[in-house]
Amino acid sequence: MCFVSRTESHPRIRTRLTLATTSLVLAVSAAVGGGLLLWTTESTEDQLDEELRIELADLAGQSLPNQRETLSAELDRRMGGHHGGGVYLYAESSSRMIVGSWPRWPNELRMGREAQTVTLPQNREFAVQRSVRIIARHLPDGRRLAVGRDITERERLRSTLAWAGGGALAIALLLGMGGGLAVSRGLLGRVERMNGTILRILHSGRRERVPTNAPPDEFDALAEHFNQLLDENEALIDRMREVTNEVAHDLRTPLAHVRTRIEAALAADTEVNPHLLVELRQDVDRILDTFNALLRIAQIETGRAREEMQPVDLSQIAYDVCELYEPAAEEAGLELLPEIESGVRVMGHAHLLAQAITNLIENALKYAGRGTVTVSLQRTDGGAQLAIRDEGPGIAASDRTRALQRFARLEASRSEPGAGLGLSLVAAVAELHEATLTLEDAAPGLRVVIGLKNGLS
Amino acid sequence: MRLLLVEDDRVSADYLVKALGESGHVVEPVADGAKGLERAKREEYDLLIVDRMLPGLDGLSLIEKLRLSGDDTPVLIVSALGEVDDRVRGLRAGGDDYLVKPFAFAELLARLEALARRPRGGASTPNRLSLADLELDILSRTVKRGDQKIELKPREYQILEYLMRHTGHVVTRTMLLEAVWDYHFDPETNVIDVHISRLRQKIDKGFDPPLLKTVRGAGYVLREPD
Repeated sequence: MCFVSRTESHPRIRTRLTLATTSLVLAVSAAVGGGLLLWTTESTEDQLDEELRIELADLAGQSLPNQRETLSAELDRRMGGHHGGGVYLYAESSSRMIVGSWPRWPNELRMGREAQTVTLPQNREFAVQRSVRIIARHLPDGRRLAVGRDITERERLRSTLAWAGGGALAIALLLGMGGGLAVSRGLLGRVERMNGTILRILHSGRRERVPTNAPPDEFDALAEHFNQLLDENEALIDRMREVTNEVAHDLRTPLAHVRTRIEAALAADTEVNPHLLVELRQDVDRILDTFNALLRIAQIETGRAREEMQPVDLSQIAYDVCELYEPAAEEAGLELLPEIESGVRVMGHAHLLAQAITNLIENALKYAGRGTVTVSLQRTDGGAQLAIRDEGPGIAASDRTRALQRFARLEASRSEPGAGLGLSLVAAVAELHEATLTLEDAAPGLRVVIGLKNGLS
Repeated sequence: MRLLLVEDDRVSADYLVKALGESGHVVEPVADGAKGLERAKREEYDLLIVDRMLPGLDGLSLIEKLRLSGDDTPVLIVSALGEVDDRVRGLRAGGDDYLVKPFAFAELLARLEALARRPRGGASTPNRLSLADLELDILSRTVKRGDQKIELKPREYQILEYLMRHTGHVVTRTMLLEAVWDYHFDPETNVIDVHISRLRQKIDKGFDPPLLKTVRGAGYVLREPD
């Protein structure tokens, strides 16, 4: 026999499972965190820029005769109020400062309608460097005016938020991976242990079984079913070995006879005796009979004949076989007694049913040797019961199971002719019809009962 | 008879050519299905013996093609496939009889002769069969020997009718089992022998001459003594 050997397994499912959980956690965290961050940044920035533009327009619009003084006063007032961290810069066209929150006009500050973020270095007033959102323009007299807001705190908050988000994301990532690994380790570990056992069984042919726990979960059920499969398989293999043995054993005797006879004929060094050839033909016929019976049983067991099943009159079939055998039984000093209920119809294979009944009657005639052989058929609830009963020595209770097996000519009947396949064929036919087959003690004698379920009214 | 034998097994073919030759028949062997079909179409034979499993063209296809071409030469199929379903397939393909390998030569010979005698093209069957003073009326299913009416059981009547339809030719036990009981397996016990001896009791005992004879190693024949 040849098994596909897989000594190592690729932990694909573990990787996949871990990746899947991790990606899921990541995607959810990133969506929530990123969305939040984007939302806070975008909305507040736009809003602030709009405020700055309005305030700048408002201040620039105060076009008065002594504008320099008025605007300076207004800016001083606004700077003094400290409302909302306002930043104001008012300078000559040469950038020299007139008044402002800052001593110098920042170089990077551009004129225009767009707000920009400018970093102001630390100085006496501010211990740290400041971020300012600012917008600047030329006034009609050429001087410069800028309005801004200190957004240092907000920026810091935003960066903290980003860090926290990133951290959370990293933690989620770790948790996802860890979780995935833990889950897969727990589940797949059992699959791997199972795999290990199966591989050992494959390689060593040992009669090991996959361990199961109680109460059973899905994996235990899987293991249980696998064990059942192994049991069935082993039983089949055992049976096959036995049959092979028995075939070899059963055929060795007639083959040895053939060889002996040929040997003797060669040694005699005379004309071949026709009587010897007749004997040889009998030996070979016996071997062929055995093979034919085996083939026939094997063919029935393939179940192909199931397609040929049709409604049949079992009463007629049983009656016909009885009629065929009645004269032979009488000749042999037995009485063949049909007790057949008429009109019993079943779904079946007429030919195989006839052959099964034939085999049972032949067995009864062969082994009983005396008395009455009764063939009875009666309708049962949903089917039919067919029984062949003899008054011979019967079969000991301990031998009855074995009697149904192939080649099982029981020791007591070893001397009788026949391949010992008659009952096996009956068993195969019964199985094909999903019927029960039992051997009973008829005290005295043997009673073989076939219980058919697929009856027709 | 002139026979075409389509059989790829050399040992079987050689044996049949020789044995059938000794029985007075001319056998032309072909080992290939396609060649067999060609030969069967081209030449005139009394009978075809066709193996089922052949190189070139399998036996059943050969018979189907032959029948399609309108050739109704009787065909005996010989095959190692012996299940009832195999037999049904063989006859459905257009075979006239089916013999399972391995077979006794006497069995083959008896079947060939029975097939050759079969009326072709649905010739009308007579209402009355007779041999010497034995008479069988098919319509009333009655049997008489001379003036004396003979009571037969239904099976005995069927056996006698079959034998009388093959008067002068050997009928084997298997042929009787198939024709009368429609059984296609061989029982271990010689059940047929007992039925024959009962039939013989009724038609031959007390009459002269005896008509039903046993042919050793083959079967039975209903024949007037020479």
